[in-house]
Amino acid sequence: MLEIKNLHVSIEGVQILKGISLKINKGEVHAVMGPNGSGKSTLAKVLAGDPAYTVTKGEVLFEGNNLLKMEPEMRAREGIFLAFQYPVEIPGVSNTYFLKAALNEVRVAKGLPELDAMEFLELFNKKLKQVEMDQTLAHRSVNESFSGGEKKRNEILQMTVLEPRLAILDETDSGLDIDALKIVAAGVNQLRSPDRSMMVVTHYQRLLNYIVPDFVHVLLEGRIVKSGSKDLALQLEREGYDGVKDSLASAKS
Amino acid sequence: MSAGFVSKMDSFVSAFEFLQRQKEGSFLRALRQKAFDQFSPLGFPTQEREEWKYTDVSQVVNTPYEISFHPPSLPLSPGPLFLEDLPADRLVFVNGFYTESLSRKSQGLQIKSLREAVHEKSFQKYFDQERKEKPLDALNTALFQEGLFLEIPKGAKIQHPIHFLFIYSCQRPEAIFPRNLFVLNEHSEATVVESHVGLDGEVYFSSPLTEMVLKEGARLELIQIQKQGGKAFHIGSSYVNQERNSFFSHAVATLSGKLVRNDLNMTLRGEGSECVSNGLYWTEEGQHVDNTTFVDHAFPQGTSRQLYKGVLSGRSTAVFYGKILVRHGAQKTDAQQTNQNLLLSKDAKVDTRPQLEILADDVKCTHGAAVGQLEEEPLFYLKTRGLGEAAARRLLTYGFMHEVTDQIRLEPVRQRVEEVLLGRLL
Amino acid sequence: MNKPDSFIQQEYKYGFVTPMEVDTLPKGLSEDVIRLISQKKNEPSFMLEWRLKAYRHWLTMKEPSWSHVHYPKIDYQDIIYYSAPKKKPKLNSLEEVDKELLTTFEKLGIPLEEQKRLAGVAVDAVFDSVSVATTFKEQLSKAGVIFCSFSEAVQNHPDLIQKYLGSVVPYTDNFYAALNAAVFSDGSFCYIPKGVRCPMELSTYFRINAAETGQFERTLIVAEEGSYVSYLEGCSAPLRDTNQLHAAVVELVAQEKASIKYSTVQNWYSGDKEGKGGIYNFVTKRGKCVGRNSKITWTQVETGSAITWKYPSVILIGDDSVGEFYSVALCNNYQQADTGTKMIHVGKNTRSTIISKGISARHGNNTYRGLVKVLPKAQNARNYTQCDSLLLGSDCAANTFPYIEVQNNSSKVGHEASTSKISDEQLFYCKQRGISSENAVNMIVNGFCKEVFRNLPMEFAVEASKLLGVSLEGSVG
Repeated sequence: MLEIKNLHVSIEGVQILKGISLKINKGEVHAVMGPNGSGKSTLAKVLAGDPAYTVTKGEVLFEGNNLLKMEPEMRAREGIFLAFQYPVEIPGVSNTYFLKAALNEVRVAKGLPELDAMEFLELFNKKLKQVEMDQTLAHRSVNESFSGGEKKRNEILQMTVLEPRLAILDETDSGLDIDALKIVAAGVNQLRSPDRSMMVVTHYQRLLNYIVPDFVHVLLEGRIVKSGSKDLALQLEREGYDGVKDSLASAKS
Repeated sequence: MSAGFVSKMDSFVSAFEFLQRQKEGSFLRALRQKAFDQFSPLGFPTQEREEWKYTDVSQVVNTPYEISFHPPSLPLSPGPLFLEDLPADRLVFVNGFYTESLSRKSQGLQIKSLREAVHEKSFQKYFDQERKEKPLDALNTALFQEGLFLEIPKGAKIQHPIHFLFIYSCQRPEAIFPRNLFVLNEHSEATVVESHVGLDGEVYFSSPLTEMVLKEGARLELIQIQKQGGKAFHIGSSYVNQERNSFFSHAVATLSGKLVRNDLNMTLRGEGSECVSNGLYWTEEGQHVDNTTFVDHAFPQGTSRQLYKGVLSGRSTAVFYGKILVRHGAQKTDAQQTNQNLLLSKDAKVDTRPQLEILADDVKCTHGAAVGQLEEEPLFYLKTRGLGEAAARRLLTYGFMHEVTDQIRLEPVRQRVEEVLLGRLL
Repeated sequence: MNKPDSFIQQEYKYGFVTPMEVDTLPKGLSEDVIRLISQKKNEPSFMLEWRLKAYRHWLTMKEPSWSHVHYPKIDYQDIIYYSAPKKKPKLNSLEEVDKELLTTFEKLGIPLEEQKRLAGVAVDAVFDSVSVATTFKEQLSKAGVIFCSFSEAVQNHPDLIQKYLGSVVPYTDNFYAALNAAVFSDGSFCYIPKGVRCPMELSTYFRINAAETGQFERTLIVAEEGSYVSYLEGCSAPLRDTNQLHAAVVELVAQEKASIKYSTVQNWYSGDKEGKGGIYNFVTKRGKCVGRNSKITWTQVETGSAITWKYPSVILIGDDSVGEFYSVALCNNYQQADTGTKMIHVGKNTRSTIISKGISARHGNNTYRGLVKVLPKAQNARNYTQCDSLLLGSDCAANTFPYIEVQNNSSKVGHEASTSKISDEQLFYCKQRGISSENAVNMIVNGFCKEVFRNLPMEFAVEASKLLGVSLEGSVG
């Protein structure tokens, strides 16, 4: 589904990703872990097409197509969804209006008919319940005066409605208390299916107790230094990123 | 030199003619001629001019002044000077004339009188360059009696503040035009205090003009204090020209004076420069205070911050007119401006006009203005803690001003300003 | 991101011209022209006298130059001051209205014919200088509401006209108000009697058709004690490469506990992409809250005109009266707007709210100019002002010029303003959800204006939102 080959990325002249290669097959859940500044959020945003970053080398194929050539909205319509670490506020634009516009763009791209307001609201209310979110959310402006937890849940709600093929979760666990974390994880798990792949970007192992990955990759200074099964996450939890660094260093020497 | 000239506008003409007969050299003569030609057709500004809409200078104009071109001969017994205890190089001017005997220099500063400096290249390059065509600034150039040229060499960091102390002692109404030029060369740093102190019963008109040039990376901290006499008129202008990555920090406190106008012009003429200006005024019966500021963001990535706060009591008026201009291409400008006023009396009046003129799109600019009274909630809170109504009000009023006084980073100056303000609260 | 020109530039929809036989006075202005206008309208002598006084006063006035707009000098002798469709001067029913006119208004989305009328909205249609039709008149008159063209009001209700004409905006007020008083040819008149809640929205649709004419209409709304009215105003004009002057006057009078809601969607032709042509919209709008507890709300959406210069104001005389101003002003291409409001607090406990949203795109130049004045006797007056500007593109300009004058120490006045652009983060967020740049910008701009739109009557809000989208098309880079 997704194939990243030797990806190099910089922002304002500073090299962040220094040769990432990664393959995600249909139905797989990959966790990308790493300390602050390792480049894991950069990877998530580059896949979604954030114009702030420059790809200096490498390629990314999505379902065999050159992803890097596509505008962000085209990637979204092809089924790539990024749950943002810091979802931005859009004052005055209601959550439902926004999501209906997004869903209809995605549906049109899929060759499906657009939903009218009534059909959309029905769907929206159903999904709201799934992520245990409050009805009042429908009328509020996108992310405006949402608490940190509400913003994250709103991202999951959008994902649930848009039903992407590849979901990228960028530090979706940060700033969540344990109850909110469980709700978010449950929302994500409901979406797990043999047709849908996920990339879960996180600093802590905690989230992976709830969203159990098929593979774990450790990102350090812009490179994937280690890949393994879900046990790797537990090892990280025990030894910390320094432990991985040390073992890598000793392996080299 | 012969003495002064009396009568209204005539005195300015006579003074100008007198100066043109002096041997000031061609450079100054030409400057003065040009400036006087600018002033003459305009005269004193009327309220029809947008930037003078709320300040009526007719009482200033209608006073006949003497304009003196020699130091006052009367024996002065100044007593303790204002900010006597400030550990600083002190340059004292009496009625605009530099007075060596009261001054104190210890840091080996490059200071020259304007007349001495007139032949120097760096002086000629910067002197009278910033002044816009404003009539009273032109009048200052045409008639300034004396002043100093302070130049801080490249990379020099002046340890102690430099205090320009202007003392006024006028038995008859006098018009005084102090004039100074500061040039801070690349990466130099200095702190300057400019204070104006006068006697309560005396009528005089002081119209100082200070020009400042901050070369790349230079940092200047300027604190201006007006503690003018209760019958004094003070209309002052300051111009700051900031080059790349320079930093200008400014605080102005108007403590007294019948009519005080502070005209501050900050031009960010290089990328990444920053200016901060904080002002406070506390007007009393019969007083009028006008703060007019102009920030010209001419280059990208400039930052400006302004916070002006005022308390008005008695029959007094205050004006704030602040303009932020962001020129085409000055992207990533970040500008903020706030003016807040507390009306303590029913006869007080405030006119405030924060203005934004934005010609670039990638900017963050905000301004705000407020006029009101102390909030009921904190008043109530203080009363529940046992404070009486009056004490609670005093405390909150002090708190209101504190946001600005706190920005005066020179401790003895801040203390002195707070003393004066606290005195009013009692 | 897409380049500006990659979007399809949608043409101004209302730029067509209706071929009409018209009754037109020659160009130019003189006492004779004014006499002719008055005569054509068969006016009582007080009207002619008032017009002549206004004209004589106008001759002594200078064209104002203080605003932040620039335009070539207007030659007032090169304008036609009266132009009217030729058919029957007096209309009793729609059957008598020229078919061409009905078609014109239908094309503008304002059907006047009985079966197609906008539900719940009574319309007075003004074509060039005269009112051509007013709908729902009978239904309104049952409620005691007078809603008719100004000319009719002069004939049928001269006492009301004489009492209120110029009582809010005297002809001495300003240059354009004086000119309007001298030459105005029609407009709308509404009178809501004591205690009546007007049963439907009242609306006037102004249409400039003829070339080289100036449009000078005058609207007067009087709301008696305890009454309520919501009034809407819409405007459009053909595409022409010369500028046309529109100098209207609107006067509102609200008596005790009366409430007037005045909404405008202004879509005069704004000129082409190079800034050629378009309407000069120099308008004086003012309301007087005369009675206690009265309320006047101005809501305006200004997307058209080459130059807009107007400050709908409220004079808050009655104690506890309320003034509100909600505005969206959009300047695209070479449009200029200098607009805002004046809130004059005279009475005790008077309150005012100002919400202004300015949008500048391409070379648009948008200025908010507003005065909040609290007079010495306005105990406990309150004002809150919020002005936000949104900049789209690096060649546009946004200015915020508030004037705040406070002479009462128990009053509270607060002003906040901000200027920003649509952030890259917002755009990327929308695009990541599959929404195109163009739609994202539209959505964000509409969100930016929401506080204003929600004060418009429903159908107008939808219209305004669409209009904004159309006006912005092609301006997003």
